[in-house]
Amino acid sequence: MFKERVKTAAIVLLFVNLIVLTCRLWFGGGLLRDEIADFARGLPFVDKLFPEESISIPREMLSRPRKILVNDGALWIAYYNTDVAFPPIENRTRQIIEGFLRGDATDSKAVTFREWQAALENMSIYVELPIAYTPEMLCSVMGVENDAPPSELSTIKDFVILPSTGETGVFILVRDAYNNDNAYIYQFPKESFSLPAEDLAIYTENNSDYYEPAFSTGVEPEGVDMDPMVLFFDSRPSTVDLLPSNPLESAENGRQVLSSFFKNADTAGRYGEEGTRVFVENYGDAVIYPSGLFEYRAVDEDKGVKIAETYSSYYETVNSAISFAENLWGKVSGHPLSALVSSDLTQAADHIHITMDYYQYGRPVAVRLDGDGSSEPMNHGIEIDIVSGRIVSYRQFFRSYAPEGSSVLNGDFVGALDHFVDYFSLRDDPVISDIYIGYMDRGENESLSACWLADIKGDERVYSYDGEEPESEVAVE
Amino acid sequence: MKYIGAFLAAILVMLPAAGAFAAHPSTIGEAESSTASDLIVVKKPETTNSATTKTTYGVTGTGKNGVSVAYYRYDNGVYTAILNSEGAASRTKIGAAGVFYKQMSLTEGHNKFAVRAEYNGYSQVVYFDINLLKKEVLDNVNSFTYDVQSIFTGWI
Repeated sequence: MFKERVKTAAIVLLFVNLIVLTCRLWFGGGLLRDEIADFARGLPFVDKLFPEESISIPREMLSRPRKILVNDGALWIAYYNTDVAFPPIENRTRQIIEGFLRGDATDSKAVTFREWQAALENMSIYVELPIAYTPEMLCSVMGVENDAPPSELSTIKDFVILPSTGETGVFILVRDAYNNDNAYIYQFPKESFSLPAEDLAIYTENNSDYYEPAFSTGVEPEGVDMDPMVLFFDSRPSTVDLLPSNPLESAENGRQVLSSFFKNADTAGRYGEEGTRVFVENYGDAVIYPSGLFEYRAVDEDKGVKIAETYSSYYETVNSAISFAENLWGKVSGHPLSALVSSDLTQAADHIHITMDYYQYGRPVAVRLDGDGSSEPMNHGIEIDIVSGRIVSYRQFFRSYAPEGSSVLNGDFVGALDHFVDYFSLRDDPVISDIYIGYMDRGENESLSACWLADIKGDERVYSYDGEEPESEVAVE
Repeated sequence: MKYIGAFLAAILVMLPAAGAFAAHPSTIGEAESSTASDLIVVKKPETTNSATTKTTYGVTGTGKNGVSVAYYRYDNGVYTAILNSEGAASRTKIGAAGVFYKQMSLTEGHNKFAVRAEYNGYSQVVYFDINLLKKEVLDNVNSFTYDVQSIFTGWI
């Protein structure tokens, strides 16, 4: 009798195992054609049993450099984080940066900013992160466990990696994100990493977009200062137009968004004029503007939406805020939130201000809503204020974008530089910190053409220039 | 008489715009004379004869707002206008930033270029030679150059 029971149990176990493995192969392993797999995914039990791994773009991009500049001794080549060829060089540099954060370097000393630039002029790899971090935050973001991260730097945003030679290991130069005079070089033991100089050519061959940091060009624009790492280039980027749409035009989507802030979104009071919808509850109020701008404010700091514990770390709170924004977006869109954290993560943990900006088809989308009597200006896709683990203010300009039309060529870099110099010439000591191609969304329901964007030091706003046909198009007489 | 006066006035009014419509020739000789010397300053390369390891070289300079700049490459005894990717002569009008920038591709050995500036009927030509070092020389200089040596003092 006992033997029979063991046999039955074994057969049942094998049968269950067979079903589970078969389902995994069919629905998760890609053995079926995509259409059938998609159909299967539509069945309610399949998603519950075999959830697809979701990718968080904002979290993924937190630790991914914004750009990497390779100098192989003969060329400067830049890679941006949306380039197809970005991952191999990112992986190579990531190991070294993680080694630095772990404290693997055996020796270090201070260097001048001139020496930092000289290192870049030689065979090197320059790595720029999307925002500045405290060393502790950068360790968390990159998944490095180190209770005593480098203490000589209070903020970090970029690195210069020098290749190993026959006698030495790899070197890494790191500077304070806000103070060029505070920079260091660290030496790794020879056995730590292998990055021979000749390997740099792997990352520059078959690439024809050449870049050059401003400091290397020998010219300084008149009337404004420019960050030495602004990249000059000669080619004219090709881009597509974007057609924006407002997901909050749907009343149901508006209700879904409200449900994340109010206990009962259906009974919250509604007032408004000219298409504006106002919602009031005991602990907070919210407004949905016709443009797609959504605003929520808690009546008090301890009445906000709880997303983390009061004792949560800075990193955990930021992570929770990103998840909150992604969940909110998931309620109104079938696509993942394509946005990046754009505010430096260098603040104190008790009051955190996080901004996020949309990223579409490999280009950033700057938001610039001037505000009116009823709403404040909005310079980001998302703005979140968190006090003691609670969201006390949340603003988002809800926008979806779809590509429209065929690719067009944009104007050249120097033409854009001319415009920005002219535009900022009346300001006191303006410093252009970056010039790049992206989109500017001013809240109008028209398609967006790519344009040149400029960041100015100490100014939260992004400035745009849509360009004109450059004179280089004129034929020789 | 008054028509002649009006015509002259119109010419005077349009004269400042002449820089924007400067007519650069498609070729220039090896010793083109300049009628001005202060329209532009070539910043990179810093000297008439220079050497580099970069196969693509960014020629830079500064100049007055409105000056038209054209780029030429030496070939068979004559400097011919460099064409851009669309097949037109590569030209720049210096703007508010007061800078010009043009990437030149180099071949191994001597590469002779000219930059011609024109403004209000005045012209200036700057000639320079960039020597792209050969591969074996390149390999020798691939170790760190002078500027960066100070970083490694005591280490290497």
